[in-house]
Amino acid sequence: MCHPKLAFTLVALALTTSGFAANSQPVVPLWPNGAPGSEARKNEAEKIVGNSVSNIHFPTLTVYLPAKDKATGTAVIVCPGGGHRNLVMQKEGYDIAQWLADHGIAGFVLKNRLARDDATPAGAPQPYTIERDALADAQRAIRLVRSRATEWGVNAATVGIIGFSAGGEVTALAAMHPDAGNPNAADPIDRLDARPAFQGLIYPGQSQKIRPEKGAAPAFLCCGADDRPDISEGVPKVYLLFKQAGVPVEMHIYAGIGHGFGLRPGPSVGWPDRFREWLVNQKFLAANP
Amino acid sequence: MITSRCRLALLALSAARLVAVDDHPVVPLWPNGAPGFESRKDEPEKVVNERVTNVNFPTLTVFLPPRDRATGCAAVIAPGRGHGHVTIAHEGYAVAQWLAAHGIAGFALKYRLARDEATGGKSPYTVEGHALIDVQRAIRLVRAHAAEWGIDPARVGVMGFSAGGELAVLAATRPDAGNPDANDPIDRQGSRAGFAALMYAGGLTRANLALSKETPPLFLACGGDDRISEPYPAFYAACRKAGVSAELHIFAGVGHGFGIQEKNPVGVRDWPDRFHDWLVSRKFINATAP
Repeated sequence: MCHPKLAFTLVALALTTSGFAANSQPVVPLWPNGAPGSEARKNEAEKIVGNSVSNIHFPTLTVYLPAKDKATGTAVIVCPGGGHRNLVMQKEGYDIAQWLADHGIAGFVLKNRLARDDATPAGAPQPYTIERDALADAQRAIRLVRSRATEWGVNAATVGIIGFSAGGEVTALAAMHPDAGNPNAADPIDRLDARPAFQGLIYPGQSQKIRPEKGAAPAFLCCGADDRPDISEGVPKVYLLFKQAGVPVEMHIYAGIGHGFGLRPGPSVGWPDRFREWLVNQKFLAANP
Repeated sequence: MITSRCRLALLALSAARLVAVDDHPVVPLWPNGAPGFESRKDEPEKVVNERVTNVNFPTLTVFLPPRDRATGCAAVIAPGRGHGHVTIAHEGYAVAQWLAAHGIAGFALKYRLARDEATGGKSPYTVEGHALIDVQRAIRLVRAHAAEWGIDPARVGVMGFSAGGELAVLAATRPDAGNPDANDPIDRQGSRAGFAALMYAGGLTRANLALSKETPPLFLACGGDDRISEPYPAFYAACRKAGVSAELHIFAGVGHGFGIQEKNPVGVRDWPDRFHDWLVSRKFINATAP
């Protein structure tokens, strides 16, 4: 299940980052032979500074499955933020997926290719873009989870996505590009639907680019009132766009907190519970697993 | 100060299903009747189910927390229903009872109705000339009794539902310091709300709302399927631009008038907890309070 090269990378990663909690979780490459266009770089070591990962050329999902007796069948792809320069894997990735798994929801942390990767030498062109590569990774992640739904105890109809900051931008993009899949694709995963069942946009970046259309995935919006204006004032505008498009939407804006709160204690600490309650109300999650 | 048990018993008959109120004191805003309407103070209210009409003698029903749980925080609660009646049970007594159980003194207000259904469209009252005056008087009255009721005068807020939310936002944006020369000691108290909770509030699109840095912190919550919720995002943004601290919760798939009711769906059912969380985060109450 785990690619040998990847296993090596993981061991190396575990050695360098004892603070990471993901060591024991399975890591699944989105494309075993490397992401399209990035095959040649798949074995490059990632760069880890503190809790941030960059030099990402071989996108993966880190798998957090709930205990079998708690599993609800609901699954969520988790997209960490980091300004497309790196990924804040712990507090906007692994911690979130662990919380979801503890609540009966399968969490899959996406490590996607970065459009402004910190590891790209100054002056060198960035090989990736948000709209092409990060989006392709998010779509592939949704398809991959659906392709292994039976194995992972997931209901393919309730695979959603949540993202933080730059990861929220990727999440919104994935929801705006609900590619139905190519029935003639050679790779069976690419035949599957990439439409997320629901989307969670947590202090999403580039909110002015979010343009929901009728039939878009229902949305859960959350941010801090002290965040920068494009988010703290942008998110309520996005809320109205969802309303106008007739897409179910919920919004929580917490006073007294700014950007990047993750699961941190403070005014926003209850947001994961609000997300969970919303999933129940929208019938994406069983009330009593 | 406290009105007769007979009057309370009548009221309790209709509301006892949800909250027992007969052991809670009812305090008139003006013992001799509202200014200019003293002659109507003894007119009986009409109570059908939880709808109260023919309100001519505005009152507060007092829900104090147990002494060992009291936080010193207090809220005047203005129930709604279009200024036509007062939905006193699930937007008044039930809320006050919840607050009291969580250490916050709750005061359910019966205010005069600008479109009182008992008047056949001929209410002598207006929103800004009477109902708002009642809310402001209620805040002053709680402050005047602060020592007796174990309340910190700086932490007396207002919470309003629907039409009551319109009154709450008006009260929050039109504070006055009181009249130091008033004969009535209550009128010497300020009417500034320490905080305001605007629950599916009307009036947010009023052109005459003056938001400023002096506006107290606001807690905004509504259902996303409620027409009245439409101005909430813009109102929140206006608050932010004006430097007013505001928190906003819009619950998907929820309509108007949820108040505190058993039938409320998961999520919005726990809005009082969200309000409580916010009071903690804004430091109106202590997180470690019993």
